[in-house]
Amino acid sequence: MTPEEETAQQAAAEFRDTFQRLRAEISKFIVGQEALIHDVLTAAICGGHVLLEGVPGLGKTSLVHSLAQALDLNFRRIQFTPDLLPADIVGTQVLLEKNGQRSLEFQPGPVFCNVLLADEINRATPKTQSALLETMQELTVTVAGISHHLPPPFIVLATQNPIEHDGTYPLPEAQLDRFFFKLGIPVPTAEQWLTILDRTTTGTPPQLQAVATGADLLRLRQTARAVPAAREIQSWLVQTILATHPDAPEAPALVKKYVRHGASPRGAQALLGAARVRALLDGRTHVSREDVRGAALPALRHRLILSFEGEADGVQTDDLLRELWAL
Amino acid sequence: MPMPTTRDFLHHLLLRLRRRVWWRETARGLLLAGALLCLLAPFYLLRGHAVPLWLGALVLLAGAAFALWQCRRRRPTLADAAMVADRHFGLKDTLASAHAFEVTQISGAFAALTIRQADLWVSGREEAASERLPGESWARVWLPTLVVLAAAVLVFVPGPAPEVRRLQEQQAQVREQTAALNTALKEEIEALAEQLPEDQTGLTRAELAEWLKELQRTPDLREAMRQYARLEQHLKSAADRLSQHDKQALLRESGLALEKDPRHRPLSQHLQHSAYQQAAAELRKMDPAGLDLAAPAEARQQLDALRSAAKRMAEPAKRAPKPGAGQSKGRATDAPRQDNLTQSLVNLDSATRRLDDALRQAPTKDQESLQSGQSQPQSGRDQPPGQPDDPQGAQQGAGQAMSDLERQLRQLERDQQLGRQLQQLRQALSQSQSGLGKNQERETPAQALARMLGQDGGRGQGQAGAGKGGREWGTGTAESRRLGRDPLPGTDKTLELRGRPGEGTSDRAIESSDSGVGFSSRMGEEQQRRYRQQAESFLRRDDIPAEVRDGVKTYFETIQQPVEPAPPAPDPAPAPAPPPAREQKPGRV
Repeated sequence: MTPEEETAQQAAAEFRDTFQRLRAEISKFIVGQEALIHDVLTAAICGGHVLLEGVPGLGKTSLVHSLAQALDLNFRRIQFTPDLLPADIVGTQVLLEKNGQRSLEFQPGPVFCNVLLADEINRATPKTQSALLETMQELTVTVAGISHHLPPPFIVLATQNPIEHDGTYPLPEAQLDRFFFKLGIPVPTAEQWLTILDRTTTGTPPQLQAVATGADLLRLRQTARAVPAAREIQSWLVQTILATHPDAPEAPALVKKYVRHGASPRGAQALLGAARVRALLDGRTHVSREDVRGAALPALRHRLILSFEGEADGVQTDDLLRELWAL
Repeated sequence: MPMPTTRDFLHHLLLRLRRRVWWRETARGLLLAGALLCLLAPFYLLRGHAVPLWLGALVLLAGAAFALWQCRRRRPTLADAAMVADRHFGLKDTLASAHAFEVTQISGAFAALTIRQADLWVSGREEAASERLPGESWARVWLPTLVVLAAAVLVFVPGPAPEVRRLQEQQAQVREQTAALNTALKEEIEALAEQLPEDQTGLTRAELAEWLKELQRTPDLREAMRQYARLEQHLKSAADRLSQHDKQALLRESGLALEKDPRHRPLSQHLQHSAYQQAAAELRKMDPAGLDLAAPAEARQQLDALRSAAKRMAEPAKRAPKPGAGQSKGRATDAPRQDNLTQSLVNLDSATRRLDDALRQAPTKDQESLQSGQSQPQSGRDQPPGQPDDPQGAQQGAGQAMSDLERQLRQLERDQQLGRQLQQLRQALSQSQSGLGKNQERETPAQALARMLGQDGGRGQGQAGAGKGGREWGTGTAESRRLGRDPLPGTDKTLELRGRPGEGTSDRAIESSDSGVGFSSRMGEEQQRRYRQQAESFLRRDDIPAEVRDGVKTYFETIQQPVEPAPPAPDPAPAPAPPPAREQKPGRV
């Protein structure tokens, strides 16, 4: 084995080890939700943002807070409301007087952090929602013509309530596409309920320790990006994603009927990135079809725009994807 | 033993996969062929036919082509082999990725680790290459194929229905018969073509070759009958073109005119009997070239016979209407021929007359030359040839006129002979094709044709049955028309046809004979021929019930029974009933 191979093997082992430690630490506070933690960590490693969807009280905020604590990252939370303005998020220039001179100085908003929780993001107006577009994609904030870089790593975890629609503004497709994963938070089982009660109502709540740093996260990201994917696997991935487009010849009848727009290239990027993480976690140094399939639902479910027939028939994108990817 | 690499493993697996694909596609091809055969077979079986073997071969070929095409289309590659192995052994695309990294030469430590991992797995699983692969269920692939193939074989078991078998036998028979008949016809027509002189008009070798091209071997009885009917039409039209009734009539008239002079009886007989070759030879005996001009008196005596013959022969020609006058449009093409012959006859007459005049004047000239004391010995020679008073020129002119007439007589003889051959061939064809499609145990149509053209061809001319005294008719039909007188065979009488020669042709020939009791030595050809043709046509039809045909056949056999002549009675006795054909028009047929 060459030194490079040994180094790569060690990096892969470190990747798995760090990932397991992070998952274990977060699981100290978050009961159950193993898949959710796995997917959030995957998105964090890949540098993606996560849209969390679930009813209130399922631990969304706690999950994000726990993630920031485990990674020892700067955490901010913004509660999105209809009167929230873009400047409340990205920051604004304020008039300051120093030494008898007045000048405009940029006052960074809460977005200048490592982990941002955009709570109930669909309650803000589209104008305010769009303030996050540049931030999420470019990792910069431009105010008064001046771009300000966000400190890496930067992760946005947004939440939205799926059952409350009054006074909400659905996220535009462009913004949805910028989320790496869209994750649903399932209701815990009865046993998990009991554990939650035990941990939160008696004694001292568990205190999380930082088991990794932002630098570790960036290193894990580099390791994951080095995992190769065979051309056949990539071709299969592309063909399958193209099949989500109703105009594509390979699209099945279900897609042609119920889908208005298929997944974008960002979807393919997210899928391949997540598959790489899964491959490393599985102890492999290459991407397999199984890895791609495993990441298909969270990476693509918010990228498929249903047609009128799909909406009217109550079709779920998850069902379409399961049919399409034989999950 | 070296450790097997991933590549070796995949190659080994690839061979197995290809073999499997080959067998599977072969089974599918056979399945397709069998299914096709089972689908197509009812089209034959429901109509009473046996399923032809060529159909089996055809669908088998189609199945083989399909199998080959599928084998080529589904030919697995190394990547396919790697994917199959990954799926079967649960390797999560390790082999496929390792193969792809090797092929595309992806560098990087992780890719190298994947390749190493794959090699490691292969080296630890040597038996994996021979492990049974999924989807190799032979029963699932071959069982339906064998069932369908068995069903496909069974469709060949039923034979054709009796009616179909009879039809097929008839078609095969017709095919063979038409082939044999066509060969015989080709031989006859080619022989005819070889006999044709280069300058033959009215029928060319190219035309005969065209006829030959139309003859095709066919299993279809109707088509065969149609093509022979077309050939018959060709033969008839060619024979009609060759027949020159106007010239024959003219020469017959000339023969009658010659009959009055006993010296010309042979020539008269030849002309009346259309023996133009012999007539030409007879004419040659009177060649004016043999006259001794030095002895004019003797030459004139010798010339007298020719002079008389030419004059008598020219009489009908001079009476004949001028070309174009009284001719129908349909006979306009015959006008030049008649004109030539008429002109030749008239020319001979005038030439002999000029020669006679020249000979008559010749002594006078000698005497004048003697009296002039040999002053102009060359005067006679200096005169231009062809002048009436030049014996030599007149002799040459008469010779030329006679040669011209001889040539026309020989041409006429040749056309007549060719026309007879065409008629003979047509009648033989007409008779022989009646056996088409029938089981000819004794004689095939080709044999019948050969027999009629060879042995019994004479009967095809419509001549009377030999020695039957006219009680039976011949077996053939005659299309030739007769004008003038015909000698009655076996008697010293002649049969005269009265018509109006020279005024176009008639569709009917009227034969008149003396009315009276008893039997004519000549058969009633025309009416009987028509009856016979109708009867044959009727008996040949398949859509008429057999009992009806038998009834008609019996009727005609009954009316064809020869009636014995009544014994001679001393006193006038009621005449026995004449034959039916003669009953239509007593005294006229």
